Amino acid sequence: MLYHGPVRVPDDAQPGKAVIRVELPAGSKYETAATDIPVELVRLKPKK
Amino acid sequence: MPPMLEGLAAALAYLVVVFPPGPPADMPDLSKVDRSLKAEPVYVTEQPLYGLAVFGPKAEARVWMVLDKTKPDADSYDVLHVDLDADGDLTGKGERLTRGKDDRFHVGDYKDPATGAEHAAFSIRVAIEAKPKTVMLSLRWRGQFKLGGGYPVDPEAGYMQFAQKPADAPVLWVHGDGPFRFQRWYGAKLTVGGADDFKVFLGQPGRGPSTFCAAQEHILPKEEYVKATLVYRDGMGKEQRLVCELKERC
Repeated sequence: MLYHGPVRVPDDAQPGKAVIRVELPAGSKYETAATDIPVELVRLKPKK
Repeated sequence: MPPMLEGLAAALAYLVVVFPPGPPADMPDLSKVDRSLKAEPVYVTEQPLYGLAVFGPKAEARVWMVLDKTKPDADSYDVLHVDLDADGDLTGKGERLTRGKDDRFHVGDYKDPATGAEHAAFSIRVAIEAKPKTVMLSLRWRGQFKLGGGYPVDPEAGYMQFAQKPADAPVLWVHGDGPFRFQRWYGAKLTVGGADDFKVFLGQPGRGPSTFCAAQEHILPKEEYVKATLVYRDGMGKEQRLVCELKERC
């Protein structure tokens, strides 16, 4: 009952707060209200 | 305007656009749900636990659920008082349920007294072994698909727990007609330069921790996907958007 997939974060994105706006595309069987989900973008520390 | 204030104004404008204050106009304000109860039974347990389910597009039907015990020293909550006619009186006929062997309190078919919508297989399950006790409501919305909650955003937070007093009770918004909203499952942090898996529930948000009420089966046609737009700032501080398609299901 979960919908999922990869969300690509570009290399030049600033680390910190961001938002993922989730909705169904136009023409979907169901109506949705766009939902803004706060996320945090983090940069992985390089391996030593 | 000084540059610092300009930056602050821009940040505030961004917040207002991305996080508008208050609930959208097309959903009820669950912070204003009437939490009064007209009549309660004499509880056997010293500590009844309260939860509230509100039904329909305007959340008009308020169905209180209160966990109780058959004996004061019973190990677990084995009685549920549920205000099925949503009149605020928990002492009505047929509103005291005992727990089944499957740890569920079974209501069965249920008609929303406010809208007349009819649902099937309405049940409330208490996780007897869990500490603290968690509760999950489930039904077949209009007899068509399973809908229930409450789900947390992170499993570590635990599923829905009933509260010790009505004022603190979690509120589930049980509404399967849409428009639907989404809640993430894990995925609070995403890696810059990566492509992390992002999972969402489809359903309705509630009020209180772990109160999302989700479709418990995949109701979207197979060819449909969920659109996820990442709104972020690039290295120059400029807002950018990147659209991704959530095509997987689990």
